[in-house]
Amino acid sequence: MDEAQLKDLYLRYGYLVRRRCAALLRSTVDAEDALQEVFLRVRHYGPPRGEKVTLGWLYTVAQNCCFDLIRKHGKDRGADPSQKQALASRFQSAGVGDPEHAAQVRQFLRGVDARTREIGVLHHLDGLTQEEVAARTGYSRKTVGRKLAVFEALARAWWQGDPDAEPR
Amino acid sequence: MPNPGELFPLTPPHPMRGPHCPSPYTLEEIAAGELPPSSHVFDCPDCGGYLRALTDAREDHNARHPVNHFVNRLEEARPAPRRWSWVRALALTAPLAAIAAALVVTVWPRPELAQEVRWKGTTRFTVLALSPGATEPRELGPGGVLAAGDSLRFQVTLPGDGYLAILDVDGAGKVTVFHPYEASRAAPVSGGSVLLPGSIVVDDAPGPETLYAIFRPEPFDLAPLLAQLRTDPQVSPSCDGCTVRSLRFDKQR
Repeated sequence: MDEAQLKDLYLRYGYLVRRRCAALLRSTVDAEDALQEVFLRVRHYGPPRGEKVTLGWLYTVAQNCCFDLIRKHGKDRGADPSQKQALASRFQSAGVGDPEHAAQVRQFLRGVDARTREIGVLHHLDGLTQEEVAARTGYSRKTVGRKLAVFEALARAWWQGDPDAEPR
Repeated sequence: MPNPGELFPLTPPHPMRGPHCPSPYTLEEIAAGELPPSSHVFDCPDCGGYLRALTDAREDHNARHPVNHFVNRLEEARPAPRRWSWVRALALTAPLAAIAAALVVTVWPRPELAQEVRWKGTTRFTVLALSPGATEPRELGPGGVLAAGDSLRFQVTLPGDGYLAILDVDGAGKVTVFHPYEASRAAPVSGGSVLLPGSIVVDDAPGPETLYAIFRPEPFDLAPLLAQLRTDPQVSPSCDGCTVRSLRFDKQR
């Protein structure tokens, strides 16, 4: 991919991709890193052969970059269990950009299995209905409903500051 | 359940969605110029407002984060990857291909296996790895060892034209579409011996890595196959009319 094509992609999609990364990572600084990684991968791998770059493809690459970053950060720093309740109590009042808040959400996302997380993200970040999620992923409508219930139950437990709620 | 805006805070936030409104994702596709705006978008204050907010925010973002500055930082972050000599790679594997044609690559059976159509002739899947600092790629056989930083390329031998996808499952159960990269449908491929374009750099995720090469004469979507692997990463995916070859590698710590 040449520089002119890369620049065009950035102007057209860069803001939307950065916005999505910021929502997943809850940090503008990490979103900047993720955006850079997305475009490095775009430059290196290019779009699927014979196809052009689409927003859907970029969102998939961005999501993988963000979850790779979340997984990597999990190895470096995890929430101390003894501090979990104190952190959870700040959860509801903290805003975007609060690093402890971001760490809590990341720990939640890191612990949720990939399929449940994918369905949760499509429904709550992309705003798709359960039928639309099923059509997009190929999962049955029943599976989507079941997984979404698990995702929301875990999120609810974390929101309520349940220190024993371990995402599975 | 907390307000979705609290879990994934977005600016601008999603609009209120009425029964005739498209999803926020579809509105973002419209904002990116991939879809034409429907008449509903012009008539609906929520959808139209969201579209305008996205467009304005993008203009503001591009002014505050200039494209030349961003591209320059990309160049500084990572140099362009070293180009492989495909001629050298094919020369390496040509004599091995004659031997490998007699080998059987294990396909892990799935209990409710769909009808699998066997193409006439040899169907083969080869992985070539180039370690950092090495000058020659090596062919990885079943049970071979990978290390983070290894660059992988894929070669297939097919009896006819069709469609191909390569899926990867790592030790954590994460499924990735390696070819065509992160796509939703398999890519066209020619018959014969083909060294696929591009390379994949191995990350430091836990092993083992299992690669599935899936061929089919007709086009096919990848979502059902990804769903199968996410349900049970240990079982080979299957689809009507598909031929699957798998290779499993350990990961060096």
